[in-house]
Amino acid sequence: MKVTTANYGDAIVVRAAGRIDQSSAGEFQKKLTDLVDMAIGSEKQIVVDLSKVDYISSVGLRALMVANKQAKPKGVTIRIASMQEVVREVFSISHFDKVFPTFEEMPKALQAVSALAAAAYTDED
Amino acid sequence: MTDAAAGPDETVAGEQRPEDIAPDLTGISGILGLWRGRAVGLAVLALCLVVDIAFLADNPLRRELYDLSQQLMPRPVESDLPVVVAIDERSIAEIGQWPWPRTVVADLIDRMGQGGALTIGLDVLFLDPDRQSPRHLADRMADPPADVVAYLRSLPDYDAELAATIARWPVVLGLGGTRTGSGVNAPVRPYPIAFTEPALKGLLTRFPGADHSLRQIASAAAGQGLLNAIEDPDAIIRRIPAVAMVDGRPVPAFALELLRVALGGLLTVTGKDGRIDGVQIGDWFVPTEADGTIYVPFSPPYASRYVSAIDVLRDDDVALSLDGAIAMIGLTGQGLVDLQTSPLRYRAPGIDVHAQLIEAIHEEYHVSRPGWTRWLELAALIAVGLILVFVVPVLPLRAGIPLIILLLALTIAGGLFAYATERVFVDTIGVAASGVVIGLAMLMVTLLIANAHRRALGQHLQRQREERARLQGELDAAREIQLGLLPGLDTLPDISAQLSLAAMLEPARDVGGDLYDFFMIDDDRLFLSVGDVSGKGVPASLFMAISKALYKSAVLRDIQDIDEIMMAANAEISRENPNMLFVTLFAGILNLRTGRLDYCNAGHEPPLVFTPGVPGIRLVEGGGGPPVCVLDDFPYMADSLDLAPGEMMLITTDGIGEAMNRDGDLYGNERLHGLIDGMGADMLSDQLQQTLYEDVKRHADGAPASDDITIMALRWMPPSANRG
Repeated sequence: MKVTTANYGDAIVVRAAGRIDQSSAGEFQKKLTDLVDMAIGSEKQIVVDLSKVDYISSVGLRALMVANKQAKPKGVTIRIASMQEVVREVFSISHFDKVFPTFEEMPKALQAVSALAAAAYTDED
Repeated sequence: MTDAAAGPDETVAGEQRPEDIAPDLTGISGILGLWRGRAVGLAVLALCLVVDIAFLADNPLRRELYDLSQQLMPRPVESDLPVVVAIDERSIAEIGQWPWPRTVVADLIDRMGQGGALTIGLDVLFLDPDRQSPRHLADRMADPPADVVAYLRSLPDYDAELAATIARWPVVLGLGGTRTGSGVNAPVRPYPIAFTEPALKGLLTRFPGADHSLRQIASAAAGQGLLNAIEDPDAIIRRIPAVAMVDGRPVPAFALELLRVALGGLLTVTGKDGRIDGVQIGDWFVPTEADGTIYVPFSPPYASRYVSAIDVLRDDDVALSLDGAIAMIGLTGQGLVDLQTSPLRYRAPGIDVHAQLIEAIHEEYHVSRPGWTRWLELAALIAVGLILVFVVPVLPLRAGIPLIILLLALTIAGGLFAYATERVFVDTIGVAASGVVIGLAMLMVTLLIANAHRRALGQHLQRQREERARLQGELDAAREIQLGLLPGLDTLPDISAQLSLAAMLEPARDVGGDLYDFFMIDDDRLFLSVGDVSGKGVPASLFMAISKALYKSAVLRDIQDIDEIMMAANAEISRENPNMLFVTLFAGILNLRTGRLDYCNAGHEPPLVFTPGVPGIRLVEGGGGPPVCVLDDFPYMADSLDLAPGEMMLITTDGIGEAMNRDGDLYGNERLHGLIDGMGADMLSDQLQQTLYEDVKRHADGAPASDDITIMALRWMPPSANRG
């Protein structure tokens, strides 16, 4: 798994790639919680781009949950965008789609953050 | 859930490969272990170099190797230029005790000269006047008559006769350098020696003085040469100074002076830049070492270079055989002379060494040890040392000794090869000796490191065993917590008339935190739940226990609706969640009388509902929310379904769907649905559970389960249906 980050206006975009499972969830969680801290400090929002994620296990979900428990009380929302079919199914069965706002595409997620973020967004892929 | 939550408080002991285990090398052993012991090896190599340079320029081992070279490859005698006229035991038996009257010696010289000898050398010193000379008889008489004295004084003087004879022939006398003191008699004249550079004199071997023959005799000779050899500590003769400094004056060696007298002219020491190249005698060039010495290449004992003095005196043929030879008179008779030991270990009279040197010069058989051999030796020492330092640590220990022996043999063989082909003596035994020291040091260090490694490995294995035992203990505890909390069917009142219920849970090796529960709320209503904690081991099993207990307490607090129960339990469990785990849970309340099921699904897999023997499976969807503890205030909404009589419900955890075989293939929903479709109409819950469990195990085909397997099956069979 690989995690990269980018800033678009007041949105911090986290791009994960590969499988988020037992072997990679720790790193994913660390990255997420660090970014949440950063977002809290700078009053930004977080968008997780899962378009390159093939699979997410319950440990991966737990990483998202831990980040959310940290972010939510401070007014930071974590948005999930561009899920592949398998990942969408996991979110659906576990109802994590009721925990996080989810978006079909990145631009819509950024639009939901702010017009500024949407304007700043460029699809690097 | 398939994957365990690796929380910060969970540590799983990973398997370490043995080579990754660093031995605890501290203090001195830390230095030994540095760079696999090579640091020590390099230090020993450096020490060997220092010792070699500072102390071992000349050493017994080197002399042994030199002697071995000569013993293996002795000089074959090809020259018959020198002949030794031996004053041997037979001559003494005929003529009388040595010293002979000098007239006899003069006769011998005359016979040799007449025989045609090129030059005549005398390895004999005439230090005092001849006492047997008749004119000296008067000196030994007590009060002799004056006329007797006068008569005796008129008789011939033996010394004068010898001097006259010597003057007739090209004769070279010997002189013996002293260790201390100026010696007997004074030199009679400067020696005809020139130097291409005056500074070369400073390189020569020095003697404080020398014993000379009587001035009367010496001044008649054509030349005089030094009889001394270089004295090695073991008293074996290996070198002779071609030219030496005696009391500040250069003196040629006896052998070279014989050649000079034969060839005529000067003897010139050549060389430059503080190094002597050799000695020029007429057209002949005799190469020497930088200090003007010559290694004498010895032949095996060679009797043919000797003739007996008595034969020269008595036998014309023998005398004539000396024609063109450099003939040297020397003492060989027992008790007359100190025998010298050669590198070939035989003992020979001193004259033999001079004869052999003349042979070698004549044959141009030249053994040398040029200055560059020293550098070659040091370079070889460094090369052998580096090979050992770098190769020994990566070789198996048992290969170390053979490697050392191989290098030792190769270097010594290299030295012998250089002698065999170039007659250059290279001290490879010093190299080999240093190699042995370095090699043994490396072996020792490698052995020490290997021992340390073995100890460290042993300790590591012990720690691993302890860790595994501890982990196993924890897992056993987790399993006990998990299984101990599950209700048995015997905790229920007899409801078999309305419901066939079966439930099972098989923990995976590292305990996945699955749970199920069921109990009667009142006479008609059965609470049931199946859940899966997102974690493994003790934390998961404890969380499972807390979740189960809090649910039950919510139910028992008389909360009626399943969504209320869900929310209450969610809020309470969320407060007891230090590890931030979550649990997916399907929970419902089944009315046994009506078949109505009110349920909530907190992120769990939807259960399946079907009628055995009738195609068609429906998923129990709806009533959904995220897993318990993900959002502590989530408003769960209940849903409900009505079971038809005879309908069956199957609730599992993902330990079923995600059960893998060794190839990584999942059991999957398709196979599950196929299994259900193939069931007979009279299938009971425990049969379904057993069939499904066996099918999952068949699929796994021995692959260990990575997650708990939980199956709950129920079939509602109301009394009316039974009756009908």
